[in-house]
Amino acid sequence: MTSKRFLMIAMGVMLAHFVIGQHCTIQISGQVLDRATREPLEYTTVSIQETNQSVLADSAGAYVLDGLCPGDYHLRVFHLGCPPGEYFLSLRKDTMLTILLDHHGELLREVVVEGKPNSFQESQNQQTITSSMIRDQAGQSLADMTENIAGVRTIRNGSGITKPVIHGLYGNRVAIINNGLLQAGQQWGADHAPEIDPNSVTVITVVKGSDAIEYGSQALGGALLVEAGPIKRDPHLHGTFGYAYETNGRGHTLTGMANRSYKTIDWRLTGTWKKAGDHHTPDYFLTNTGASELNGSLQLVFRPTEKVQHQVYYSLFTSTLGIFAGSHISNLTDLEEAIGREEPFNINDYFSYDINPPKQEVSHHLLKYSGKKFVDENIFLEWTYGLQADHRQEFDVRRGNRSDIPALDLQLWSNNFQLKYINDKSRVRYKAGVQATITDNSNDYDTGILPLIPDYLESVTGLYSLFQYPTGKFVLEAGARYDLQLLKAWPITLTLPREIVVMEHVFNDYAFSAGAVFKATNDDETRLQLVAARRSPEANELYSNGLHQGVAGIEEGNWLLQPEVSFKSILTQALAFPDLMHVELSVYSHLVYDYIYLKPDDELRLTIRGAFPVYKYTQQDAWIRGADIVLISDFSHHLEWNAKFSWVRGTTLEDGKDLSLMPPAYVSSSLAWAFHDSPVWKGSRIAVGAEYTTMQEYWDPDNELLAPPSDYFLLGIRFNTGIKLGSRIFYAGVAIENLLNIRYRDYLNRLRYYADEQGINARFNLRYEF
Amino acid sequence: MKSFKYLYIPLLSLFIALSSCEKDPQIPNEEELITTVTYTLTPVTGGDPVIFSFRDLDGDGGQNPVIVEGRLKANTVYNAVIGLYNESVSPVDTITNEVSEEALEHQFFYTFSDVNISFIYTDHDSENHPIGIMTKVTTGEPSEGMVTIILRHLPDKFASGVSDGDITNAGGESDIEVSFLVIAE
Repeated sequence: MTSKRFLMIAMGVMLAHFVIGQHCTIQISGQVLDRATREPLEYTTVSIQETNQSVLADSAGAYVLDGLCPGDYHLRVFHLGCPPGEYFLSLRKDTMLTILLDHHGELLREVVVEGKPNSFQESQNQQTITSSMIRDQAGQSLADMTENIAGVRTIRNGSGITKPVIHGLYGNRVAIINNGLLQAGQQWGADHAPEIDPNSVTVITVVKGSDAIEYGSQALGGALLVEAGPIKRDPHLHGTFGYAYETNGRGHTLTGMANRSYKTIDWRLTGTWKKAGDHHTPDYFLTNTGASELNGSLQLVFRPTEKVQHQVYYSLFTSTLGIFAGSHISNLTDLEEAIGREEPFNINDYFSYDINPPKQEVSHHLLKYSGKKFVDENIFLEWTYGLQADHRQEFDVRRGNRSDIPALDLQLWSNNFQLKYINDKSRVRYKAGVQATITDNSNDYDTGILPLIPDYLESVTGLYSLFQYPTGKFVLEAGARYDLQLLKAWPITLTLPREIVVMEHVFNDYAFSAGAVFKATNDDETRLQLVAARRSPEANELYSNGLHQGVAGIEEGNWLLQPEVSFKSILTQALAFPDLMHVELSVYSHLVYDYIYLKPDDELRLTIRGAFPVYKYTQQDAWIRGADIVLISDFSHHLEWNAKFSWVRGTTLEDGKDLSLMPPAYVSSSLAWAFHDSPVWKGSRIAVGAEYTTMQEYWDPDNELLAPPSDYFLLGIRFNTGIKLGSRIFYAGVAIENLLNIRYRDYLNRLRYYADEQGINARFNLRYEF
Repeated sequence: MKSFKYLYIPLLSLFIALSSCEKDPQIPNEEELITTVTYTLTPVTGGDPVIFSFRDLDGDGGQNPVIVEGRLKANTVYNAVIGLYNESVSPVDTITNEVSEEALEHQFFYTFSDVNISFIYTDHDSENHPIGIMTKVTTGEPSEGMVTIILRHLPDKFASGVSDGDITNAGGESDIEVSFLVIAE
């Protein structure tokens, strides 16, 4: 064994050990392992595309391919139930390769060392969605994809606008980290979806625990990390073309990706085009719920030397989203009238791709430069500059030909600087960094309407450090963070004459974390995490002012709000019963002192458009607690079963009143059959999934306009396969959602007042990888 | 980690620089705002008009609206007319003109409750459906109750009962909804 080499690949890492070899007698051998459990994956086919050689790994996952000449080869690995993997190898000598496959995607945590330092996050409470899972769900939104993870639900406004809820929290309390930068959009709005194209992403990670330290005070409830990911070190042009169609909404999605690696430069290009029209419930069309998107990204990596790496990343996201016509109501009387109806108002009895006001038009640019200097393989310094521009226009139905003038027009600029140092080699591993962000939010005053949130400038400067100490069966960790936040806002008075007031706030935010992982055996791991964090109020909580048309409510900020202080503890027990079952049980308790939330006023406000309930930002101590359970079978290679359960409850501490918009208890299960590969059919898998969402029984009549909808049961089916034609592989999939065409409403969907959820939907998905 | 110090200094100065930063926001021209509704009833036989008004000069929030109510005579027929104004701009903007220009997209609805009063529409849009800016109001025996005036934007004027003044199937969005105490004596 003379040298070690790391090959970065999308699905796992191969460790190549080179041994002495001769001309055309070179051998590749090794073992195929499950990435999550490290158990051998028997009966895996390993083939070489160039020579058409192919072998079957034995019951220990071992394989041997021999008689190879030196040269460049593409290796393909097929295992039943796994997405096929492709690896590039520049073969010079006899080589040993350990291949890691995502056999249990659901279990996967960032446990595995990704070649280059990333092992720091070993004990974090986080789950990952890999690129193959993202591609199989092409056409769905980013937030929808995260719902595969236990403890994550989505809050939505119709079918197109979704955002993730982690352990009962969302919006200002869930940081969305887009390629290392805090997504600078209008994330405060419950009807504002993250401006990110999942096709430009190869890894989505949900962090529920102590990572708050690295991502700032907005990660109080958790974080969603999306990464373009490393580019395969393969000197040939590779990529994918995909097309997806969904019957409900007649949505078309085209996706493309290409990448190539040279000696010192790698590049990757992605693009997405999406168009969907009116969705339909089992009974009627949801008029004006279409959407269109056009997105692209470019990633360039320069490696002038082995120790230095520069990266430039640019992405553009543009979308137009229709808001359901039947939710277009004005005051409380209208809303009450709409609630009682069998069929919503303002709907058409025909399908259309048209998107009319009310609608949203959003564009988001992200430009990032980052550099890395490696002192050692596991020690590096990283510096980053990021620039984001977010433009959001919301159109309403207005009088006097004003419907083409946005009712809300916000332009947000964000500049971000970061410096991070990671040392993964010393006895105490540590990570430290500084971050500075300046955000500039402006309203366009041609709207002719008082803005919902005022113009503001915000700067946040933060310092953080995380330590990890592995000792015996324990890994101990601790972290601390400090942020200085300055907010300067220019709200407009509500009284006459209208005046602009200048307001300044200075906040100090702190966060501390401590954690321990106890690995009794390989099959028994206990994790405990404690996070204390302080989050200062954001501009919308301090100054928002205006009418939310869809919910007939006036929302009012409170400039006297103080930071909220949260204490979260998560206890997780992971158990593996070999050849039977994997179990992961997680319980958490989250105390938030001075929790900021919208509380309805006792009296209705009389306006010229009728009476409206007034929701004011208020602070009260709150307690959010819950549990997540994941079960994954391991008794058969063909038959797979998994089940997930989530429960969460949030109440105020003082009077025990229920907080609104907490996800109701939920259980889901799926049963899958993985077929044996044939020369043509690869990785075929059929799965039947069922989910049951209970009625939210914990609700406060003072906080809700309408009782939560009743429970519902949904059934779905999914089939995926790879078709090998010559040396080419096509991937195809069909998924049918709401198979029984059930009529139901969802508590977390704002449209529940007006209309049912989508009825049956079939998604077709075809992809070619080259 | 010496480099941290060197970086933190510019970051800090950046932070300080921000506090002296200025933006130049403007106050939007709220031309679409309706601040005032007047409901003027003039006896067909002549005489002083009775005026009801709802005035909220600063829009939603801020100061409470000012409501003025009048007294009608029993067993009398009135010509009634609605006036919508934006009094936050100078000169005052008459919004009723916008409504009559977009007559097909608008309709006023009047709901009299607990009071012996009835009304009929006396104006029509180009498709011969009522607009409701002008109505004829007839009072009966002395009584006391409420009238609610609603202006719907984009109602379905073809829906059943809508042209007769029944709001139930109208749909659309309420641009105006005001209630007055009415006394016929």
